Amino acid sequence: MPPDPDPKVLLDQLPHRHARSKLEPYSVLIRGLRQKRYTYQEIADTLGQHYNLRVDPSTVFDFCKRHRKEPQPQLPPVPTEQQQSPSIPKVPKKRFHYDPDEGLTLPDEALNLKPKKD
Amino acid sequence: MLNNSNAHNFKKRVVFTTGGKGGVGKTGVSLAIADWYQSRQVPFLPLDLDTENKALGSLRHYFPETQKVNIHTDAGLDVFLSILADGQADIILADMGGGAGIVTHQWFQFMKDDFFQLGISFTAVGVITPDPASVESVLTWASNLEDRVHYLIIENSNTSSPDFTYWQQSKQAQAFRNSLNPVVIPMEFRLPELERIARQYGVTLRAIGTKSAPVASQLQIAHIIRAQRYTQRFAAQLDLAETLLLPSHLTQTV
Repeated sequence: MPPDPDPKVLLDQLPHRHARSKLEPYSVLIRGLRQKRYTYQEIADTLGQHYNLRVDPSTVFDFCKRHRKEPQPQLPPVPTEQQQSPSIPKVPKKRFHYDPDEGLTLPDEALNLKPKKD
Repeated sequence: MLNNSNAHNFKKRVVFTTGGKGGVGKTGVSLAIADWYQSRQVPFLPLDLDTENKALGSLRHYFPETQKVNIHTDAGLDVFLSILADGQADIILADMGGGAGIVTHQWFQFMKDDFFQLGISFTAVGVITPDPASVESVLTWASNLEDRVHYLIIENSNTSSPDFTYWQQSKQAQAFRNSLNPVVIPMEFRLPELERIARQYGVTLRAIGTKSAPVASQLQIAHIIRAQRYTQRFAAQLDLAETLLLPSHLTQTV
């Protein structure tokens, strides 16, 4: 009996399947239109008008809902100080900072000593 | 001894007033420092970078050899390096004008790595008065220049009973003193009438006090004595800050 195949090797050998949703090729467009506050009906109309793709607004809704649930691609971990590339200059910490918009602030005891306006 | 970090091992020095707030006595302080150099026979080159300063109030009015420089050009402040590199002087005394902040800060940001190699050190002279705006002006400069320069702060008593509360007690000024270690010296109140006479005739208080200025013969003895005292006392304060005013090889040798 042949041994079980290595899962990683098997994964590499198996072909890609086509996306199940016909909206998959338009995912960027749909996401962009949603960000522009287009309704599902308007998105469906847009796809029909520009790509001759007949689709029901509820299909667009389901597609968007499913994509919202998919895990977002994770950002790479922030490298530690030792791992940082030497080519990226580090922003030096300021020894002294003054914000002119903030102005000068006196301690309470100094304020009490200042003459009060009538 | 007053202290300011790393004020050693520089063969050239640029001493400049921090521009910004007008009317705090920047030119008067520049004048007193120039007079101090002259009394010690220390060669220096005065530069007037205050293009808006009227002739009567400018450094050139008192020291005719003063060169006028417009720093609002593409490479205006490069004049510092040119003069020092050409050997024209080991010390530059520059009187900055208002509106010089952005130009100066950008120049320091661009040139900061080259000063050390060229053996050039910079001293920023900030003038504080009871007006909080003068404190804000100095702190704004310090926030931009940070430890690229040394700091000499003059507490200018422009009234007979000055109140330096904002300079002495504000949280921001305390942070400046703690982090950048400025040398702070007082400049006592001077009779406005005496200063007006000096300005009008283009002579220093020392020249009045020593009667080397012709106008001194027309003045009351009290004015002569006051001119002497003002000069001596402020010179004594500048003596304490000499490491910030001279290149390292000239300190304690003149």
